[in-house]
This record gives sequence, C-alpha cells and structure tokens, in this order.
Amino acid sequence: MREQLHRRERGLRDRPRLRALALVLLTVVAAAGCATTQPWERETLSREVMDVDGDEERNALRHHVLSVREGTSGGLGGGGGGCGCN
Amino acid sequence: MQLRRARWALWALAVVVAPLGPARGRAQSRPWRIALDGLLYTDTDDVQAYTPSLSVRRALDADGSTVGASGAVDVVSAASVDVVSHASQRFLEARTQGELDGASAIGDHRLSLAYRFSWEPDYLSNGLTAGWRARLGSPDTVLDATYGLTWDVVGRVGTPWSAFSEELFTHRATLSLTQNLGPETVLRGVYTLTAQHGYLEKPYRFVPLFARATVESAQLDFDSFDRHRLPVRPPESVPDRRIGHAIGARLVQYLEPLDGSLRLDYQLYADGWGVTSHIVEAMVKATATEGLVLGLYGRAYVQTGALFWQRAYAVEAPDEVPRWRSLDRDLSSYWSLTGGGRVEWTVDDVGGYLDAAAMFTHWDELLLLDERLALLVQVGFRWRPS
Repeated sequence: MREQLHRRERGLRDRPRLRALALVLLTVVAAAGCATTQPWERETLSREVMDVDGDEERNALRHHVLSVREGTSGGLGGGGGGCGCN
Repeated sequence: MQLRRARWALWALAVVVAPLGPARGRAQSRPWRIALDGLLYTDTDDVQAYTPSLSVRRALDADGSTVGASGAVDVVSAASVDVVSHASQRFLEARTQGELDGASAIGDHRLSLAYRFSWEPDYLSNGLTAGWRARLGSPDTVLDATYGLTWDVVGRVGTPWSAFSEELFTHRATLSLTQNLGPETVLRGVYTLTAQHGYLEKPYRFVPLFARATVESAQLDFDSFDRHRLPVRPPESVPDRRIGHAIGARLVQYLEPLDGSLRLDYQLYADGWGVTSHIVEAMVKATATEGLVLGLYGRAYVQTGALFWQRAYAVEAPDEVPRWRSLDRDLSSYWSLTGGGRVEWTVDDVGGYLDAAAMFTHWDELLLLDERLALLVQVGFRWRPS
C-alpha cells in the first residue's frame, strides 16, 4: 500500500495535471498582456459587487465551515485586482 | 515549549507591525472597522454548531497598511454517527481562537503577517502566515504569494497531555495572479500546495473489522454492522504524510442590467492519498436599491475516496489488522450541493448581511451515513466609526 501511495504521489507530477496547471496560469498571464484599464475606466471595478475577494470576516467564517464539511480545501484566496484602490 | 514558540511568533508579528507606527501617508477618514459575525449550523445528523466572532481592524494609511485583532468561539454539540457510535456519547465542546495580524504597504508591495492560536480541551493549534503582494506594473495585474505553517497538538479529552499527545504540521503555500481583463471583468488564477506530516488520524475513531466471508455474504449497513464485526476494533491508522495540490480560477463579471455581478469559481484538487475533488460555485449579485444588494449562489462539490479507504475492512484471520484503515467520511467518495441567498445592506457607517443556505451531502459507500441535509445561517454587522 505504501508503494502504491508513493506511486500515486509521483503520479501527481504527471503530465495531465501539469498541463492543467500550466493552462490556468498561462491563461491569466496571457490575459495580462492584452488588458490595460485606464484610471477613468475603473469606476465599475471599484464597486462593492465587483470585489474579487469579498468580505474578509464573512469569508473566514464560511471557509471554516466548508473546510469541515468538504474533505479538501485549497481556496481561491489571493489578493488585489479590481479597481486598485489601495 | 509551546508557550516559547507562541512567544516567538508574537515577537515576529511585532517586528512587522511596529515599524508601521502611527498613521502615515494619506490618512483614512474612517480608520477603524469593527466586524461582528455569527454562524449557526444544524444538520440531520444531529450536529449543531454556533460560532460568534469579533474582529477589530485599523487602517494605518490609504495604501493598505493595517493592524487587526480578532477572536472567535466555536461551540459544537455533536452526535455525528461516525464519532458517537465508535467512541463516546453525545458531547458539547467549545473551541476558542484568537488572531493578530498586520500588513505594511510600501509602494507597489504589501507585506503581511498573521498569528493565530486556537484552543480546545483536546486540540491546540498555532498558525503563522506570511504574505507578499505586488502590483506588476499597474493595478491591473496583482501577484500574491502566501506561506502558512500550522503546528497542531492533538490530545484526548480526560487524558493528560503527558500521557497522550501527537503533533501535526501543515505547510501551505499559495500563489495567485489576479488580472483585470477590462473595465468590467476580473480573472484570478490560484495554485495551492499543502503538505502535512505528523498525526493525521482522529484519536476517537475506531475501525470495525469483518471476516471476509461476512463482507461477501452479509448486507452490512448502519443497523447490522455491529452484529457482524469481529471483536477487535483497532484505532484509525493512515499514512503520516499527505501532499495536496489545488488549482483554481475565479471570474467576476459586471452585469449592467442588474447593476450587479456574476462570480464563477472552479477548483481542482488532487493529493497523494488518491483523493481528487472538484468545486464549482456561481453567485449572482444585484443592487436592489442604494445600499441594498441581493445575492443568490450555488455550489457543487464532488470527491473520490482515498486509495486505502474501504466501506468495510475484510480480514482473513481474526488477528489480522490492515495497516491503513479509516472510517473517515472525508476520505470516502461523496458529493454535496449547496444553494443559498444573501442580503447585504449599508447605511452610512454601518452595514450588515444575512446569509442562509442549505447543503445536501450524499455518501456513495459510507457504512454509517448515506445522506445529510444541513442548514447554515450567517449574520454579520459592520461599523466604521468616524
């Protein structure tokens, strides 16, 4: 079983998953090259409904519940983006 | 030893927070933010949880420098079948958590550090998280990297720490890139690496074993398994190392007709134990009137079971014990669906929200539980005094 587990861990580094990871990151990086938002275009991005992170305390509580009820967690946290107000 | 480590963590936090000093740069008109939240959870497995939390934060400038402190209490009244039927009677337990954090913004960079301590009668946890965020050229592109180390000490209620205590270390590194795709669209990509080593079992969980002939002939379920199991009932045993990878994406799109937004999330997770999961979530927000936002959301979660997880562990001889054995429902294959709604309101310097959701979970092979329906109600108040 131990050997099977190790094989499985090695398998995590196999091509399909690497490809999926590379695809996500490349998509975002590629998108970075084709978009420049001028300061006067950021009014919509600064609205609360466009907040990509959401309310910190509310998310912390919700994440706590979900991490107990759902076996795996990685999270879509991160930072920044939007209007760049701070 | 633990107190010494906690003291070091607090010193490290002080080193980051102290140079921030008094408010500098562009001053904030309302630097204080007070948040009071509460969550109520109840399900058909007879588990109830109440979690109030309080957070106080002060902005030190308009660039994103902050200091904050928060506390939470988790009161859990549990009779979940996988715990009660194997270890104890229904119990009531409280977990107390405190956290200190600080962030310093310097130009296009923001450094942050947080320390968290949580305590319950049979579990102590220390967590330290450090983060770095940077704008890559313009506010349109933001890179964020965090690393967190959690050190847990697992004990047993009624047993002195000196007689039984095990350690668990969790390292978590996250890298995210957030990109504005235009004046109305934001996209984020996230990669998270989680590495755990140490005691990954649950100390109260014991695993029933069965003769192979019994597993092949008898219809085992919650009502009958106790009659068929062998006398031996060893404690749960799982590998002492687990490495997981998660990649995710989040898209936020402005919806002009609703004066609101659409948020789409997806996450793929896979780990060395053979667990793979997918999460899809969507949320639509609409502005009903000035200061009032309504939201609806849905979430789907599905995962495969761990390689060593079995519905019933069959042995050839009465004294044979499988090396890895677990009844943990989180290591079995299952799926869940969650749907809910939210109301958010703001009037001058106060605001709040009410969020209610229902969560249905179905286990494909779990011996002790097939389905569960849970209700979650979350409420919060925000105050930004002048």
